Amino acid sequence: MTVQTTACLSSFAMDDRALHGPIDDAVDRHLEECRRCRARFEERARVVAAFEADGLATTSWVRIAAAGHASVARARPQRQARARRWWLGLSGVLAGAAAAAALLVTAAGGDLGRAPAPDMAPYAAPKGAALPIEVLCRRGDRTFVLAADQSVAPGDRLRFRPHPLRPDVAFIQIGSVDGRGVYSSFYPAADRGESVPLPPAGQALEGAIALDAAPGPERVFVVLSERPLPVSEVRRAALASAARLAKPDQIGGAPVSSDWLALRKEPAATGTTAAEPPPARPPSR
Amino acid sequence: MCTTRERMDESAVAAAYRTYGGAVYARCLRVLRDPDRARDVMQEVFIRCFDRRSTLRPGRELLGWLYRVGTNLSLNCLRDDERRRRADRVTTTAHPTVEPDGPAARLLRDLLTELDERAQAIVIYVYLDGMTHAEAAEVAQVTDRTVRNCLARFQERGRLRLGNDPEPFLRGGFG
Repeated sequence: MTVQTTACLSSFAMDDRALHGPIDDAVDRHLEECRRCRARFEERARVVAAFEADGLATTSWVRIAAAGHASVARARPQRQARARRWWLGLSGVLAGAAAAAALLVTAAGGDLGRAPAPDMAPYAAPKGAALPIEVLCRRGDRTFVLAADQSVAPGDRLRFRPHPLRPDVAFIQIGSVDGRGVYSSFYPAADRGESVPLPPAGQALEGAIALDAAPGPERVFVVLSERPLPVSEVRRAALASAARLAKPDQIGGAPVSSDWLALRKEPAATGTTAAEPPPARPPSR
Repeated sequence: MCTTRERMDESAVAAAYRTYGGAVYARCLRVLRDPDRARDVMQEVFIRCFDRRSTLRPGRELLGWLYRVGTNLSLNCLRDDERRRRADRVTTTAHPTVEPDGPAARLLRDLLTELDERAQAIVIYVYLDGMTHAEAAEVAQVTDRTVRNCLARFQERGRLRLGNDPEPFLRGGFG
C-alpha cells in the first residue's frame, strides 16, 4: 500500500502505521510535524484503547465466532446442493467411478472428525431434559457413539456433540467432577476462561477429552447459556450439585440449561493398552 | 517465482480480531458516529471475515479488506436510516420530527444518496478518511480512473447545489 506522506495522513495510513509499525520514515516525520494529524492519531489510539479495555470486546468475539459457525452451517446445505447438481450432470461412467470411490472411503473407516456410524443408541439426556448431547468415544481404532449403559475407560478419547433444543442458547461449558471430587474444565480448557460458542448444528465440539485413570465415575457437567459464563461460577455450581446430580437453572444470575452425564468408568479399557493413561484431561485440539 | 501464501483459519480470524477489532470499530464509529451501531457493524465485519476466512490472507491486505467491508456495511446502515427517515416523513407529516442534524449534513447526505454504492464508498474514503486516490483505489479495488470519475460526479453534483467551488464545503462537511 502506497501511503501519502506530504499531505495529511489518511485514517487508513494511520491504522497501517499503528498496527504494522513504522514502514515509511516520512509517515513518522509527518506525524511529528503535523499537529492536526498527531491529534487525530492520538484520538484514534484513544478510541481503540477504550474499545479494547471494554469487556464487551471479548463478548463481541464470542458472538462473532458463534455467528460465524452458524453462518457456515447455513451455507453448507447450499454448497452440498450445488455439489449434488454438479455430480448429477456428470456422465454415468464418472458417477459409477465416484460411487466406487465412495464405497472405498466408507470401507476405510472413519475417525473422530467424521460422524460415527450409529451402531448404538446414543447417550442422551433423559427424556424431557434440556440437554440431549451425544458422546463420541474413540477407543483404540474404533469410534462409536457412547450408549447410555456403556462405560468408559482410561485412555478413551471423548468428543461431545450437543443438540440444544432452545434456539436462544449460543454457548456451552463442559467440565467434569471425578471420583475424588475434583472439577476439571473441558470446554473451555483454561480454568480462567469462559463458555465457548456452540459448534454448528450436528457437529461436535473441537478437540477430544482424554480420560485419565482417576477412580470412580466421571460426572460430566454440561451448561448451555445465552451468554458466556466464567469457569469459576460453573465450577462452583458443579461442585455444589454433583452429589445429587442436581441441574441448576441459574448460574451466576444467568438463566442456563444444565445437565449431568454420569459415565461409569472401568479400571482399564478393553482391548487397549492402558498401562500409561494420558495425564492430560483438557481437550487436545 | 511462485509462492504460496498462508490463508486464514479460525484461529487466524481470532488473532485478526484481536489485532484489528479496535481499528475496525474506530473506522465504523467514524462513519456512523454511534458507538452501539459501530459495534454491531464491527461484529458483522468479522462474521464475514469468519465466513470468507479461507479466501483471505492475514497481514496488511486484510486491513484493506476489513476497511472495505466496514465501509460498505456502515453505508448500508446509513442508507437504511435514510429510507426510514423518508418513510417517517411520509407517515408523520401531521407531526414532523426535528432533524437531528443541520442543513450541511443533510445536503451531504442528499449528495451521497445520488451516487451508487461504490461511488459512495469512494467519497467516504477520500473525503472522510483523507485517502489519496491511489489509496482509495487500492482499498476499493478499482482503478485510479474509476476513483477520479466517481469523485468528479460527486463534485459536479456539489457544484450544481452550492456554486462554483464546493470543495471547501465538502471537505469541511465530512471533517
